[in-house]
Amino acid sequence: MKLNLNTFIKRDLSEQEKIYEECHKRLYFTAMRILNNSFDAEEVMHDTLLKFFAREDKFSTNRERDAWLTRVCINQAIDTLRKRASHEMTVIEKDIKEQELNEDEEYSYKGVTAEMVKSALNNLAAGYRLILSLSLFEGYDYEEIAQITELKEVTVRTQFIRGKARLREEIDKIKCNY
Amino acid sequence: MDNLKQLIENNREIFENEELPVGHKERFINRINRHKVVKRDLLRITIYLCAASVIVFLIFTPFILKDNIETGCPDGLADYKSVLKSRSSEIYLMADRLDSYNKDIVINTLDELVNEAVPFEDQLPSELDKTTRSQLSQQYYCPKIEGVEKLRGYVAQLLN
Repeated sequence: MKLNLNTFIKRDLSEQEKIYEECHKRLYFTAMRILNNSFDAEEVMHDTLLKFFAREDKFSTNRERDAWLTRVCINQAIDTLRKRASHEMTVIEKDIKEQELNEDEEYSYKGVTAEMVKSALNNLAAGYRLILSLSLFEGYDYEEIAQITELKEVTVRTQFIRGKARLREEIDKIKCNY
Repeated sequence: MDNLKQLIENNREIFENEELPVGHKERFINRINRHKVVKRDLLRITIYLCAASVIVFLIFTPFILKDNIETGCPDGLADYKSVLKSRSSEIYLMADRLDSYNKDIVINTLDELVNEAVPFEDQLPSELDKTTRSQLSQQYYCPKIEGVEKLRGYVAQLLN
C-alpha cells in the first residue's frame, strides 16, 4: 500500500467530504458492531478514511474502493479491540459437539425481531461479536475470517458456532423480557 | 442461507439506523486539517534542513579547501616528493644557523620525517589500481608535508 504525503495534501477537501458522505456510515457501523463503543467506532472510521486519503493508488471501481475500506476498517477495529482488553479476545478452543452443530438448524427465529438480534449481539463477548459480525454482516467465509483475525480456520468455525449459541441464549432472554 | 443471516439481510437498515455521534464530521475535518498542517510542516522542515545543509556545505567548503592548500598537500606522487625535497633543503639551510644542539635535533627530526629506506610506492601491492595507490600516497605523504611545515615554523621561531 503506497501512502503519499503529497497525495494527502493535494486532495481537494470537497472531494474528501464527498467520499466521507458516501462511506462513513457503512464504516462506522462495521466498526461499531465489532467494538460496541461509539467513540472507538468513530475513531476507527476516521482513521480508515485518513488512510484512504493518504493512499496514492486509485481504485478503478467504487466496489474495489469499498472492499478496501471495509478491510482496513475491520483491521483497525481489531487492533483497537486487542489494545482495549486482551481477555475479551481470548479464544476457548474446545471441540464442538455434534449436538451444538444441529442446535442452530433446529432453532426457530420466528417472532425474533431485528432489534432483538441487535441487542443480543451487543451483549456478546467481543470475540464472538467479531466473528459473527464478519460472517453475518460483512459476508466473509471462515477462511477469510481466519486470515483477517489471524486465527485458525477451525477456531473461527468453533467461535462462530459457539457465538451463535450464545446469541440464541441472549435472544431467548430478551424474548422473555418482552 | 441460514435463518439468522436471512433475518439480518432482510432488516439491514434496522441494524444501521442509529444516530452517529454528534459532530463526527466536524471532528473529521479538524483531523484532516491537523494532518495537513503536520504534513506541510514536515515538508517545510525537510526543505529547510536541505537548504541549511547546502548553506553549511557552501560556507565550510572554502575553509576545508583552504586547509588543504595551506598544508601544501599537492596532488600526485612527484609533487609530494618535490615539495618534501624543497622544504627539506630550506630547513637544512635554516638549521645551519642554529647552535649545534638544536641543529642536531632539527636534522634528526627532519631525517625521520623525510627519509624512506624503501620508497612508499614500492611497498604498495602491485594489484592495487591507480586511484587507490594515489589515495594511499596522499594519506602517507600529506601528514609528512604537514610535519615538515611545522618543523620549518619551529626552526624559524628558534632563529627569531
